[in-house]
Amino acid sequence: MPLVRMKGITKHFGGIVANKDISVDLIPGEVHALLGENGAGKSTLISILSGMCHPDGGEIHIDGEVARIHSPQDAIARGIGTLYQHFMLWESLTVAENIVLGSEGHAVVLRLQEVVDRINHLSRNYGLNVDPNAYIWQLTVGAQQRVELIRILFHQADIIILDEPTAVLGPQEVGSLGEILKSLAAEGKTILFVTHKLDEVMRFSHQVTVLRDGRNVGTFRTDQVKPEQIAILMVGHQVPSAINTTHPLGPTVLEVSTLSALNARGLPALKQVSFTVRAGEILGVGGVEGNGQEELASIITGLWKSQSGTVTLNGVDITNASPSFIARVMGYIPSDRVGTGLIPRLSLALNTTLRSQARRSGVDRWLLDLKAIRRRAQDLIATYRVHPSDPDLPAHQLSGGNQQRLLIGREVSLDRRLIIAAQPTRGLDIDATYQVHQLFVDLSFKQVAILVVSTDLEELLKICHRILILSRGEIAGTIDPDTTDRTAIGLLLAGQKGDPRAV
Amino acid sequence: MDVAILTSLVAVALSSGTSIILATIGEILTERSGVVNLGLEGMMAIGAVTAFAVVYYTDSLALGLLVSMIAAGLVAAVHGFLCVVAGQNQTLIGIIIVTTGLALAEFLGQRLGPSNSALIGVTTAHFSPVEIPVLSAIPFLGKILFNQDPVVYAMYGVVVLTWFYISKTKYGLHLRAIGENPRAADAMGLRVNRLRFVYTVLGGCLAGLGGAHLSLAFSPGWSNTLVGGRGWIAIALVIFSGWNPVRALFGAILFGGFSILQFHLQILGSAFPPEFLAMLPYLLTIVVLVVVTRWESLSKRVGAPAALGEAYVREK
Repeated sequence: MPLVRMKGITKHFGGIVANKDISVDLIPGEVHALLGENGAGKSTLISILSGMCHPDGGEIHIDGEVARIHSPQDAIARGIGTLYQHFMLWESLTVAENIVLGSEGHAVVLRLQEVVDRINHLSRNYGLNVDPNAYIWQLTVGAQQRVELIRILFHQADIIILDEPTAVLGPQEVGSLGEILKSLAAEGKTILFVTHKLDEVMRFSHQVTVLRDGRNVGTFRTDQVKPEQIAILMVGHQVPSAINTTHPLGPTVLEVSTLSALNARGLPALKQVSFTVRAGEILGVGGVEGNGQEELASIITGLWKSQSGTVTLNGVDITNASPSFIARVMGYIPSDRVGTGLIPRLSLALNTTLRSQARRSGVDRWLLDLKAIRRRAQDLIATYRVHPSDPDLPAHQLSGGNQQRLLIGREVSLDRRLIIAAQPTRGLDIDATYQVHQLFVDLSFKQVAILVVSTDLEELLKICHRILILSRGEIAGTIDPDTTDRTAIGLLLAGQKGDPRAV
Repeated sequence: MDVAILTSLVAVALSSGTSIILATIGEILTERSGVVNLGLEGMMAIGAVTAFAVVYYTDSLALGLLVSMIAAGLVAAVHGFLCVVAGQNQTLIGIIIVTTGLALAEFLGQRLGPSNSALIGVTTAHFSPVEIPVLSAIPFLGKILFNQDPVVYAMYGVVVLTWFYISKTKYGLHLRAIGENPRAADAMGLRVNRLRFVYTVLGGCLAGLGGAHLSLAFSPGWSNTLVGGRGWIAIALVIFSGWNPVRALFGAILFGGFSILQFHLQILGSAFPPEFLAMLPYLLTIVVLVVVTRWESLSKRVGAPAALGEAYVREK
């Protein structure tokens, strides 16, 4: 007997149909996966269930009666707890203050000790390890997510919605989140889990509903369906999987030697890190997020200072060189796509000029040659299939995948011999991810050296020649994607020293 | 220096800083909610002139304080309406309120006196120090803290209460939440803009009370230069205190101390021109605060409310 029935949910935004006649039933004690590409309508459907937006048509039934959910508070009152993709947390408040906010009861003076005790109880019961007295700004993204989950449990929600919770997690954290979801379901909670990753659906869910173009294209028992079937339903066509990276490598392009650095909180982020990247090589840097990967990419690109060690590019020392110098010698695809990579309110055309001071880009000594800029932007937009293709549109109006294509297109068109890419496919759907991978491989054939920092190990295994695993700021080991087995990789990720079949 | 002289100097410094502390506490409440109110200087002037005029006509000091809070609160309500409800630029509106508020106070000062003449030079009832038995007998501190006028005593209460309110109560937590992440606060059911409006008005009331302390206690009377930049010092103090009421107290006493010191230097006669000495309290306060915050910010995280100065509009 389903606890939640969504019947014929329809929602338009302007002329665009986000949800068209979607019906989904959620059964207590089960994890229900909602699978779909970006723009398939997953987020809209769950914002309707969590009270963040109102449907144009359709009904939601909870426990057999029609539920009118007009605001997030209505949803909370109905026992619906939502873990949003963008966390609803207050950085300057403690974990306990964040969790109690909105449900303090009648007492005017806060009784935080009671809250702390309840949090400790919940975190022990569910293995959600978190310090109730820590400030949010001190926590990693994974720990912040655990705070959100504890808050949902604290409010005694029976229906738990999670909007792409794994997008910000490393592989190990994904595994433990999956186990937590299963144990919550075993307790009788009703769980709706949104993702665009097929393997998570297969591992963690009892049922799966696939959305495409705002419609429900099929609901299945997970154990009675093959992943390939779902993949084809989700994308609408088949996606090639194998990528060929066999080609001869050239001389060393980037050499990092005994590099050490502190992070923004003044703690050691990198300790004596050394490696090289050769022309035509794709080197992966993996490991659980927050182990020095971001700092490494930032130091190489001049956005963060190292304490000791050197970075050399084609034999030239570029350690702690200025970002404006480094912009002239390498391409950079930052993990923070909108913010560091693109300027959201600027047009696509002007965004394409940001990194190039050269005349041919239309940026003359004083004046912008807007015609030339637009012409060049149109070429770039066509080559990298950015959609919509209007160069005068502000960048924030593009989807994540299209922003990334524009950003990668800009960096690649600079024609540098080295590209640093951080989390290049985070948040992208299967098709867009495949295109980014193919593009990197094509570049490596042209003898461009590429350093890819990613928490997605599958991605690194697919495209890299070698993978370094960073753990607590040190290189825990090197992986050869063709030979290293999964157990050894798991040990490396957990921070076990060793060099399993090192290359 | 003689202990008795030092004691009386610090006591006067505290009295001199009281108007600043009150305005600073008000601004801390407003800014914690996410609104910047640069109009303190104007609101203090309005508070000072209305309080003085009311006491002149009614002889009631309590009524004077009340009216100063209402008048400055009304000016703050204009700021709240334009910035919170209408979402206008808070810096711009704040500056307009300073200039308009000062001009309005000056105008009232010209007209509210006997038979439509000026209030300048008029004398009325005013607050005098009230020695608190027992407590004032505490060596050194007793004479400084407990031989003051009633508004100073009220100020102690305001500082402690505000600290307790912000850090220990449910409503204080809500206040911090709306200034830090209004979207999340909205999702939790807090009425962000209503609360911001309330805290903007409350901030204005405290600035008005600060102004009233100037015209009714610290320097009884009205003149166009009575407030003399204290509103701006209060805004600086909010930032240097890290939005913390107790720390703001010390900054305000510092300013009060420097302004008394320069006054004494003028009387004693000094080689510096008096105009230059008059600058000292402002300069020295800022210098000390910059040094202290630089030195401290490495160990503590003193941050502005994350959504400070941004109007909140719910997404569709």
